[in-house]
Amino acid sequence: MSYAYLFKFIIIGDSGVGKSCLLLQFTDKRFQPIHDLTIGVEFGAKIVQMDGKTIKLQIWDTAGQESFRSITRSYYRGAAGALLVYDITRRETFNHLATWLEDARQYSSPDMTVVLVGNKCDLEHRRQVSKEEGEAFARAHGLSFLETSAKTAFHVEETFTEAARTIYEKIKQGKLDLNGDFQGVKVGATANTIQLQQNNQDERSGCC
Amino acid sequence: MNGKAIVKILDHSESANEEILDHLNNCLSSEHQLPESIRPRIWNFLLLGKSGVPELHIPVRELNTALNSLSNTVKEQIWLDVNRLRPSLWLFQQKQVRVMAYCMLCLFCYQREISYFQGLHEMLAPFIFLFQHEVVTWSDDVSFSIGDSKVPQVAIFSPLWKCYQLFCAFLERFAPFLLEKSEEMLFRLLKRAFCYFQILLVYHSPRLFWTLADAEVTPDMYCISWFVTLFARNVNLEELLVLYDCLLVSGNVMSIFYFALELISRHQTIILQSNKAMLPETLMNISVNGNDQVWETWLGGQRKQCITPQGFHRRFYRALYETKEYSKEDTSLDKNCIQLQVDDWLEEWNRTHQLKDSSSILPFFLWDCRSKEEYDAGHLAIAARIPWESFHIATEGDNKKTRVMVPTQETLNQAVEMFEPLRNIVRICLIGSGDDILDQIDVYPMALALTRSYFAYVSILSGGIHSILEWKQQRNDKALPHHLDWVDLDSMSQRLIEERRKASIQSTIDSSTLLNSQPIVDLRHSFNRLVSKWVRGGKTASTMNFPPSNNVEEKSPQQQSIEESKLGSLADSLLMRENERLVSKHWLDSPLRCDTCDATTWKVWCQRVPKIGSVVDLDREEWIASLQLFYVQTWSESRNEWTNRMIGISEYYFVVLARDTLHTSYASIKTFRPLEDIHQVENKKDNVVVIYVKACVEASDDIPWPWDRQDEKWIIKLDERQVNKFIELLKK
Repeated sequence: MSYAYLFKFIIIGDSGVGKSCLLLQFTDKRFQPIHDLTIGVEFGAKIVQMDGKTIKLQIWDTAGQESFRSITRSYYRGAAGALLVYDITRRETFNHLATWLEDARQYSSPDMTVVLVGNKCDLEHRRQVSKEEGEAFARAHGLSFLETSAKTAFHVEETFTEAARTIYEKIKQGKLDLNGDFQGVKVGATANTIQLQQNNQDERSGCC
Repeated sequence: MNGKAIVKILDHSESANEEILDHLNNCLSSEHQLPESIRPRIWNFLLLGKSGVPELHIPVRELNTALNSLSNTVKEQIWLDVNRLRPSLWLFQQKQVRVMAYCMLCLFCYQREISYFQGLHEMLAPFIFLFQHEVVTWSDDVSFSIGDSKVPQVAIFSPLWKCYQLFCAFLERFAPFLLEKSEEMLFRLLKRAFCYFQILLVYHSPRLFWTLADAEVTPDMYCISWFVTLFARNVNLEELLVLYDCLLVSGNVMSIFYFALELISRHQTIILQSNKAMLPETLMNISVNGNDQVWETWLGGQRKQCITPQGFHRRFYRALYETKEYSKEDTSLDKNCIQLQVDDWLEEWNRTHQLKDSSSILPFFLWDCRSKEEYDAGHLAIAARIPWESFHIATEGDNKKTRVMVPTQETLNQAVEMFEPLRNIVRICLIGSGDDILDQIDVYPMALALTRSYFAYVSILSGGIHSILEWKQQRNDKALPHHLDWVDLDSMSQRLIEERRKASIQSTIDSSTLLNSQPIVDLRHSFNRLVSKWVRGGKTASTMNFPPSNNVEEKSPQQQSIEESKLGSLADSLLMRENERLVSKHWLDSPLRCDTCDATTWKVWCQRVPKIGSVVDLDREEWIASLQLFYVQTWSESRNEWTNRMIGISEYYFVVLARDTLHTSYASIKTFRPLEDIHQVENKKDNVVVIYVKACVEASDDIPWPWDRQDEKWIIKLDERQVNKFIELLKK
């Protein structure tokens, strides 16, 4: 399977906000109301097309429980994009966003694209966090924002593709130094030739 | 062996535990699992030492306290999680089962005073599953809400309580590191487990290890749910019970890690074929299918444990269960190779030679990696030597017979080729001098080259030859095993050769590509060059003018050659240096470790050391090259001492330089923090830099110190311009 770029995405947010469900909806187009919880990290992948280029998204779905933070922090390294998810029906998951964002900023590259996701918007009757609050938080921290429903698949595709597009635009504009420290984007076999040098540099000689 | 026979033995009150275990072991090897019908009873015996069936004990009162004392956040989390527990199984869809799981987890966290972590619920599942036949459909709707802390109706009668004691005992026995009261400790131990696991992986399956390492796939990505839930998250319940059968009968806490090791090794082909970008997904989907596969994987894990050096195995165990403090972190792990102590090595040696059935343990081979000279000055009778000097090195237009000081890629490749017939049929143990600087040259590159060429079972004898000497000294040569016999031992000349070689290595370290600490090496290089320039400038001009920057580029022929050797063969320059040293016999060439040399030798050396105030010819290149940035390993501790000494002359900034062939090791160089310290220099632009020369020998009462300690004032002073220049160069 050849791709022009591989983007590493990471999904973060409190336990039970529907991170795994978002991923499942995006990759498999199905919704499982009760999903096994994630311990540590799980992975999903999907191919998207952008300007005729094949882009593989490798999505790291992380454990939400506070206890696991010391481990999950190591997963931030080299992520090109992050989905910061909260549950619109549980106010506390929204309140914790600041600490999540702080972690994300601290343990990842400053170039990481972060999308704020208010999930479970199908449960309008149980809403505790208004859309405006989400928008305000996103604006204050310079994030893009979407409300989604992993159940109805509302905005799920858009969330991922928008994040991917933002990253892709950054690459096109040369804002991401693919040859340098930024590891979130790996250049595949079918990328344009300029980027190909990177692969050679990456492969260090096997021994010593 | 069937269930009835086991029941008979369990019923027999006189049965010895060993006898029962023998039966269970037999049963496992023939059936690959324990008889399902009496599994609860056997587990009850194995976990709680009771021969009967698990008893029903309903801790209503305690549960009541637990539900009242746990915070709502915790309870909500537990409830959220039990609802996500094995959702596809009928059993766990039953609300009564979920409520019971919730109650048991709450009680468990309360009793053990631990905070609930996700994964705990997964480990409860097999125990509930064990008693699934006791779950009858309740006609009543189970009324329950987390809000009220009353004990739910169902918890007052449920037969599922039978599994609770077993669950508790199981965790205490087989996953005590998960029951740490502090979460921080839990995750630290988990991270440790990842580190040890990686070393096990490189020992048993180097190809797999390097494939994953090169793709930056680390155990925290694929092992975490294995270790946090003891595979409860990853394996179907039927198979999980079989795995736990094996675990319980073996009673071996560590075997779960070897099971993981075998599991990943069994999928080697798939992993190696998988695209680099697909590795995380591939690893995530690794599992066992079918009871037979569980059993085979289990057996494979046991075999791997048997081949693993027992000393390392015990260190792994202790790191998880005994020495949990931060200070007890095992630093040998960052070498990506198992390091053995002398005792461990002897144990392995004996294990291979004493076991009747030694077929399961591979023979152990000891390889001496030092130079011929050192080897000739004494080596273990059983150790074979890597014939470095016989390897061909291509040096352009040079017909001189060259002696290799530092192994190049080429020589390493030839050494690996030499090892080829031994690949994976013996356990290779590499031995060096034990001096870290020399081992960095002799041992670690070789070990790396071997594992990189996918040789399994490679280990290093930690502390090398010296540790064996010490080991023997401690035992006063009393009845020592014959395989510790020496050949031609002359430890004094051995030391001398070592020190000399070390000095040449240090002086050419600038161009070495073997070290990872490249920036610091570069820094040292420019530093040394700079110092030599000052000194020369200072001697010729009374004003101590700093040489103009274009002069810095001007090099003496010798320096030039060092620079060139960066590109060309390193061996050449080392050789040149070595010869030069042999001729010059400089006073700095024979420093001995004060704790091992005798007092007379020490005194003789002291006499040769230039005294304070005596004239030293600073133009002599080897002297300059021997200046080293000196930072003691425990700089932070000795910092106060230094600060105290600087009282009164606080306007000075000290840069400490020392000839230190004795204790400088790469480890200590690494602890030098150039950026931070340069920053300090930078902030004191108006001040004078003092270059301080001091030998790094710890003087004790009975060993005299070559200099008066109060009088360490041999100094080169620099003016502001020089300081700036100096900083500029350091920054490069």
